[in-house]
Amino acid sequence: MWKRRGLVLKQCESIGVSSSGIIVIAAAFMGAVLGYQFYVAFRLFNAEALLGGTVGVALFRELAPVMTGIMVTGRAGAAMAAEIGSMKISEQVDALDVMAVDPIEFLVTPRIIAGTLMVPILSVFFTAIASLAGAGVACGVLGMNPAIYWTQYAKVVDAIDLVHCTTKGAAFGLTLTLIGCFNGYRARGGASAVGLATRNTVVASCLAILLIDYILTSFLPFGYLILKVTS
Amino acid sequence: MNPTEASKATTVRVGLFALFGLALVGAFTVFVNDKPYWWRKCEPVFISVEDATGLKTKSPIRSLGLQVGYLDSVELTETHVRIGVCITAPIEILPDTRAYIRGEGFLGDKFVELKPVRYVGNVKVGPRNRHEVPPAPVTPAPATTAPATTMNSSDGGRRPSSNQKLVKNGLIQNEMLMNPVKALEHKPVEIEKENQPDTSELDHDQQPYRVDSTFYQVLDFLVPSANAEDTSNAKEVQVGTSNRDMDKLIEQSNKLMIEMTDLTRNLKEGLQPKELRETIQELNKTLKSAGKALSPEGGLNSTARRALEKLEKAFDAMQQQMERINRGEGSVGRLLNDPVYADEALKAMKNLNKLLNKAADIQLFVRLGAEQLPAYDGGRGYFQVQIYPNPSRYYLIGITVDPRGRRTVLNTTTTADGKSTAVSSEQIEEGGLLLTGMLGKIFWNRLDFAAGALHGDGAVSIGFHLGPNGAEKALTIRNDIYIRGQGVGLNDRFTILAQPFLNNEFLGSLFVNGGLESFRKYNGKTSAFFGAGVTFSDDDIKLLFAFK
Repeated sequence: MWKRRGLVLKQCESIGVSSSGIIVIAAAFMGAVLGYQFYVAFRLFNAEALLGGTVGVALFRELAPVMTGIMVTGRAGAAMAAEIGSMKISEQVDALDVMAVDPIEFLVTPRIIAGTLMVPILSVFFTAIASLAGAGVACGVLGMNPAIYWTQYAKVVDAIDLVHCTTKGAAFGLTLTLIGCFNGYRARGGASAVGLATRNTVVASCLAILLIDYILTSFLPFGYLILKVTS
Repeated sequence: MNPTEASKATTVRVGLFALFGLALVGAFTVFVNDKPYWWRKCEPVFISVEDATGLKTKSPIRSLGLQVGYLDSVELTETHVRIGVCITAPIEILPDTRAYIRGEGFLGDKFVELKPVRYVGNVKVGPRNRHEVPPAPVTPAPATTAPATTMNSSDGGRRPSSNQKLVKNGLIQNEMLMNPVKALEHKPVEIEKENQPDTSELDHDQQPYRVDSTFYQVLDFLVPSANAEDTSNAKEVQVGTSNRDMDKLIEQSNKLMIEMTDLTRNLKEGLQPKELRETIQELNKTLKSAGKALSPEGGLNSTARRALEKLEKAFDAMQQQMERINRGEGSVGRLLNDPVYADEALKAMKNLNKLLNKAADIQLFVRLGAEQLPAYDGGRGYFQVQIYPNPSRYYLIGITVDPRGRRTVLNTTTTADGKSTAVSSEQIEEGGLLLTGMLGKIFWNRLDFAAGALHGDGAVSIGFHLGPNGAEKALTIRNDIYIRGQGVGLNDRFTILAQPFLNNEFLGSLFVNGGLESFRKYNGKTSAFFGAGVTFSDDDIKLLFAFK
């Protein structure tokens, strides 16, 4: 695979660097909404001080990896299904075969590696931006003390939550690239097959991400099971 | 350009992106870990001790049970050991602060405890001072602590400071005590109060806080009692703040040591070393053989009575020795001083521990039950013992009274005129006892395979434990494939066994079961059965298996 590292880097740029724009925008709005909603909820109990920690845990454990996975699916997963599907129906994939180039190694493997590596990083970006946005709303608009927000954030969020975020990100990256490549590679017929592959990729990836999120949360030793250990 | 190669711009962009991501992960790790010790600002303090056994770099420095810093360096000087300590919490070393080397339990790591100290919160601690102070005489400390130590706040060893602390008679003194006139030149640390309005008239909830406050200011806000300046409702408890108190404590500990020495000397009388050695050796042998009985290759069927008799003998002998000790004839001191006794005692303890561990691993269940089989117009009663050497393997042995009776096959070969005729006849003995003996293996606490003889028939069983986690056997579905000889082929017994109260202390031993004795019809009837029983863990039998 080392000789194909250029392909991996290109896919890293396509999946990771190019997706950072929409990730930043989505994270900013997501964090801001979280800041508003949690503040309103905690205000009922005079527990606004818990806002920072709650936003942090929610982002690290669930929202950041899931939202990043869905955003990357919409942007990069659909694109790779369309790209590979087009190559398939125009027989470019067969041409690669004829030239003794393994299409799986050339088209699929770099995308899967890039997806597995880049989505965790994007998830951490998402968390950072959303946390800042949440702090901006809570402190700038609602008048909360930033020191309280960040102190609670550091107090409540644990290093294991960071492991959650990156593990789930890697799993989602692997899933969405696998589904995208599979649907693209399976495309048969005319141009409509490309559209079908794209649609199937987005639908299947989103559902698979939610399903895998449930499974990881349920069965990872540092997921739900951590409650059993501590209780 | 080769399509498999990335451009330089792509490489740089991806590289920077990945680096930024990793930096973000690192920053988050530091932030959410509440700044690990190597990240926090360090206030160096030096402590001189005569013995630094057990201390190593990064050992915690504690005060009142909380970590306030870490041990930065341990250096050997001409006459003592100098320990460099980094204080990371906002505390102030007081004139009467002393250092104690303590251990976490008997076997735990060593750490240094400082007390008393003062929490200064948002008070700025003065510039880092580094001073060398000549070692001072050390007063013996209480038994569980190392001697009191010299302590110096320091700043690189460049110039002396008014914060310099000395030790006199084992107690830390500072310059204020040694030279009051000069000490007056040193102003105490000041609390930052500028730009803060007078909030004494406001309720606590209304008191403003500074937006640019530090981490500890936030703590003060959240936990007002943590602020050392807020003493209005606080009750002050002095811990060793007086030199006189410490002297008294040390004197008391010395008295205690003298008394313990006298006690040991008084006990060094009368006990016969040979007898004690033999007793311990005998006990050791017994325990060792009991341990072997529990090993996989050990004979579980050996006589338990013999082992119990030997153990009783050993305990009798031990009791006699103990009585002599109680009468003042014993010598605990000799026992402790003789390495032979110590070795034997150690072996005995090890074997006892092995025995107890193995005995604890074994699970043993006794099952008594009855089933009604309408098709056979009778009932089945059974007694079974299930032995689990470990949770994933078991032996099932038992006896059954079965309405189907004990089946005996008689093969008769008759030879007439050179021709052999074989006749096979089956005899059923009603009321005969049937044997059960199976070897089972459980996978993932759920899947149960067993093979052997079940109610007198050769059988292979597969079962599924479907109960909730932790009580998997609350519901079991089981299929036994067995050979009965009624017609050609195999019989299938399908059983559902429910122990709904498995986790209940009183009702947990009850179970009900039901199913089909065989999928084949018997006398034109479906051979269903239903029954109930009781399962209990028998610790007495377990103990018998433990000794041979």
